[in-house]
Amino acid sequence: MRLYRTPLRTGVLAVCVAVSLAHAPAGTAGEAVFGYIYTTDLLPKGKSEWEQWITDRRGQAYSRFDDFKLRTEYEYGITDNLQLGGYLNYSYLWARGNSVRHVTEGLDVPWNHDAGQSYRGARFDGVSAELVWRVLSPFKHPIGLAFYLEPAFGSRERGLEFRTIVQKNLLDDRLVLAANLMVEAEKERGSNLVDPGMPDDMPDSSRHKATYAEIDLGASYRFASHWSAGLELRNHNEFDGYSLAHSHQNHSAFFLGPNLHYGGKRWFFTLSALRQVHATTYTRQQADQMHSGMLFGDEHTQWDGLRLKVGYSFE
Amino acid sequence: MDHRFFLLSATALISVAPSLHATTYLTADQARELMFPGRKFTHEEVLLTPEQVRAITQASGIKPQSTRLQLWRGADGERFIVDEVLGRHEFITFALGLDAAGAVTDVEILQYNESYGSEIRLAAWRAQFTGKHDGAPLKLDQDIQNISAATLSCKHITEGVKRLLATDAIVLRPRSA
Repeated sequence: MRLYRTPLRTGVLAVCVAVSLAHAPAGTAGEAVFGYIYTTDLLPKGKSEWEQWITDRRGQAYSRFDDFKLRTEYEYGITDNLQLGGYLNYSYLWARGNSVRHVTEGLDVPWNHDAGQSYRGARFDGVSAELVWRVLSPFKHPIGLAFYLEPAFGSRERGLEFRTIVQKNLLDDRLVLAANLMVEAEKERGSNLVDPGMPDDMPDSSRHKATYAEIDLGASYRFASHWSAGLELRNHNEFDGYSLAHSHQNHSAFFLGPNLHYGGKRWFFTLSALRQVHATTYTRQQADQMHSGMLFGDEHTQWDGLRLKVGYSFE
Repeated sequence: MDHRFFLLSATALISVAPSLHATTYLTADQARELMFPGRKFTHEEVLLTPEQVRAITQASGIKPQSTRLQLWRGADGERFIVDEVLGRHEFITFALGLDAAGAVTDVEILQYNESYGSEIRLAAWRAQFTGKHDGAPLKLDQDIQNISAATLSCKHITEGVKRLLATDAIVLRPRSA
């Protein structure tokens, strides 16, 4: 591994060593240097790439909660500035006494599951597609700018995600700063979560309309040939119905954590670990799902999440 | 899955990540012979002083990656330089040929190992540098046309040539005179 000669090298190494010593989890459309944040890097025209994502949404209020989200993706460069992708989404959930009521309920647990029993199950979530259009390249313009559209269709969730991606490269393109503004409108089937304030209400299987808005910020520094490391911050907001009005807002939650990326000629790996660091709720029902300063219920996990991406570029 | 899984995974990735060797298209000697057939050259390693690094950075807008420079001088004042710029994952090694007056005679790509962007090896793209001298804009989409699937490589090679032309004007040519 050839380290770059730069004043930042020492600092980045210190961060990596500190992360390793603390036994904390260490950790690109196109090759992903971030776990959650998108950059404006796209595949060249006619080139394609396969990616596999594994995300563990881990830990809720008590006991066990591991919600493994898996995504298999194929991306193709239609032009040098337009990329199309298709995903298969599937998951495996293992939950036991996870909720604030210390029963097995909430996030992704089927609506008709007995909360007194632990739950283990795999399911096919659906398919989604992505279209990314790059307007400005960070290598040629002061900033990179791209727009992202992702429709998703499944038995449990149906939605449309729109993302604006901004990227700024510094230090000879070794330091990548990225920001995403995401809005997603979704219809989602409910879980078996029971409102602690209304314990006699039964869960139902109907789909609820919701809108998610997110601001994501990230920095990734290439500290050696092939290797980058950095930090990611997500601010996730959820609203009732198709609205971004504060009067419809349910909560706002923040996630922060490191990432580590290796990029070779054909393969890349990216690891990221985002921890819930703060949550604010705006309804009584959401407030009842707070535990140890974090929001759980149907919404989030302690680690949201631990993500590994592996990608392979075809000739 | 335990949190330690991620630490172990990271450690494993670092340990087993394939040690990739860049594809060598030309050695320095081969590139020099291509640029200056049959001419005699003498090799020297130039060490840049901090003042020279500052002057090069100020003149070109690009900081040298290294203070060591691999230089070959020809009998009639020609200069042949081998240097590196950052690629997407690895360094790209390239060679620059200069005539006695400091104008570019040729650029050659010696080592390149990126997934995309090897089009910078095309003679037509490299020919854009011929005749350029210190002070030329050397900017993508201005006097150097970009290859859209190889933007990062085009940008960094262009910047590398600009930096070496400034190095030549500040450090190498005064020594030749």
